[in-house]
Amino acid sequence: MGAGIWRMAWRNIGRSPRRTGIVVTAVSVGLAGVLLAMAVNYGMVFQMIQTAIATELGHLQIHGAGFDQKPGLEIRIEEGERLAIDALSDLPGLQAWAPRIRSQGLVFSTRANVGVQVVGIDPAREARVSVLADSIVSGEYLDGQRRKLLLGEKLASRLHVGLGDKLVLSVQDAHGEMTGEAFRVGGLFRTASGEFDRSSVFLRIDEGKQLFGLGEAISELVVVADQRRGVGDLKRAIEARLSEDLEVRTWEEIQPLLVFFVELFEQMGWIVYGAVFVAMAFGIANVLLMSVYERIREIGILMAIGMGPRRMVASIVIESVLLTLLGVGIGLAIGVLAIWLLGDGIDLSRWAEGLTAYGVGTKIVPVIRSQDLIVPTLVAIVTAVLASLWPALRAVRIRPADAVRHV
Amino acid sequence: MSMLEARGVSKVYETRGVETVALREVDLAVEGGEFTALAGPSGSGKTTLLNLFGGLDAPSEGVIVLDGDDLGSLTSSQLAEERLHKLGFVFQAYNLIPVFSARENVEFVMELQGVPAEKRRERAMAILEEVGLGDLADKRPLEMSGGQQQRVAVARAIVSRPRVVLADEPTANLDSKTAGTLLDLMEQLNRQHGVTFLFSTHDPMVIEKARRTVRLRDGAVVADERKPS
Repeated sequence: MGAGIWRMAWRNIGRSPRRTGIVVTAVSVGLAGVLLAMAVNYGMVFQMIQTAIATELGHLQIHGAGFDQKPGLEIRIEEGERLAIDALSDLPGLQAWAPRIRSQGLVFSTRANVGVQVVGIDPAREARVSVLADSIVSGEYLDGQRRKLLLGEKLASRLHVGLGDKLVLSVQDAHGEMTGEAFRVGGLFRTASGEFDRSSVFLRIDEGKQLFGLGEAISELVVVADQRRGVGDLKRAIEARLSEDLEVRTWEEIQPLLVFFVELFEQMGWIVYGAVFVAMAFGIANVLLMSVYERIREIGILMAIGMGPRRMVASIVIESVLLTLLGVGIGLAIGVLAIWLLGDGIDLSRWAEGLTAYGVGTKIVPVIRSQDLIVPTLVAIVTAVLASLWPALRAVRIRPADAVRHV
Repeated sequence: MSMLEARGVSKVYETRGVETVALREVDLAVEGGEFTALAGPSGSGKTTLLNLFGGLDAPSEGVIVLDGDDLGSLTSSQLAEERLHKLGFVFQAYNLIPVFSARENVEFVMELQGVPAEKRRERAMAILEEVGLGDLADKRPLEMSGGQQQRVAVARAIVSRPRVVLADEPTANLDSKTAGTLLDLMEQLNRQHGVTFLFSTHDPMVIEKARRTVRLRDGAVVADERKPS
């Protein structure tokens, strides 16, 4: 289409400032609202994923084959740490790895007992793959501490214990025998995951091996990649170096529920976008219809001077697209500005209990992705085109002889 | 071959079941280079016949031929092409696209024809100078008088050298002096460029200027007068 048709469409937008203003306001406010809602939603999901990766999952985990079906000490990695040093040390894309022992147990205080996930960790390596070391709110991390346990604040509260108090850890060892040992509370941690804080107890891996009678075996290796995008490649590289009796799984494979949440939020976002765009389509169609009816004579003149139906439709579609893009541009600018202003996070501490149940912290930082800018723009253009077809077809169905007589 | 030809053309309008005959079996041929007026009282069918010649409407019966093309056999897109390349229109008033300046109004036809930007600007300015509106090229229609707007409409109608200019009551909204100036301009363009002009009018000044006057009454041709050249 020639520049004249674009120019005419653009100038026609300015002919009724009030009507244009209403549509542009509706489009921009709707879009900015959805963009902000999506950013907050995705910020929550992103935080859930980050929390899960940073507290427990890592990007990848290596287990003995079948561990996912039957987690426990029966399926373990013999000489796991040596294997990791041999197989993982110089892998490109790998940031850190850490060994863990993981089993169920009971922890007893003088006033209560609670079933827990007992996790043996290498303190130095663990600090590079999880946020545990950074989440200590009282006491000390396990570095250099012997016969000490780390537990979540919430678990300590259930057990009615504080720093230095004595606890007995009772577990079934690798040979199926019940065993137990006494420890003291060395530190309390608080993460964004309430469930994790309520159910996990950490001890040094060497003490764990001794407690569970594991020798040099471990339950799992946790791996963190340089970048989350590179996890797939890293998984394949690790698999290539390991024997078939070991399996490597990504965080998505370990926690498909998280993937479901991401997809659920995406779907919800699309539903909201859909509602906004349908409303937008009706608004645009209404404005353009009014515009066409007000310009019947002008349309007749255009037909008389030789503007054919294809160009006529194009001119109205272009007008619709420009009108929409004006609203989209302003809407995205407002949305991005609002997200930028909320860059320090939205304080949701009032709902802290509920949020930590889902692994979400009390401060949500809205996250904007490039697709959140590109997709609505493209969908808005498609909406504008579809919404303008009805008025455009009405315009070309006007008989030229009637149109040029129209007053 | 005539430039414009109506063969047995009738036009009947139907409004809420009531039929109104606008034209009855009109036969008329207009040759290239003519300066012809369709005269008659209101409701005589002048504008209807003009619209049929311009492909803006279709006859109920009969055939309209423009430069050898039977307009009834063309699609709406082909009709638009026919108007774009062979016809120029001047209406009674509100001829121009209000969001365009005088120059842009004139250029737009050429843009639709695919004339390169530089050439169409040059031609638009030349024709606006010719109609005496070079100084107002950047003015929009609302910033011009009715006579100036009509002159821009004439400039737009002839800028791409059409075979025929159809002018529907072009002087109806103008004072006699402005109307006279506009008619002189159109006659000059007719003589200089050989463009065929066909007016619908009941303005005596136009009829006097026309070299041929076809009189219509109640949808039928009742007289066809030619002035000696």
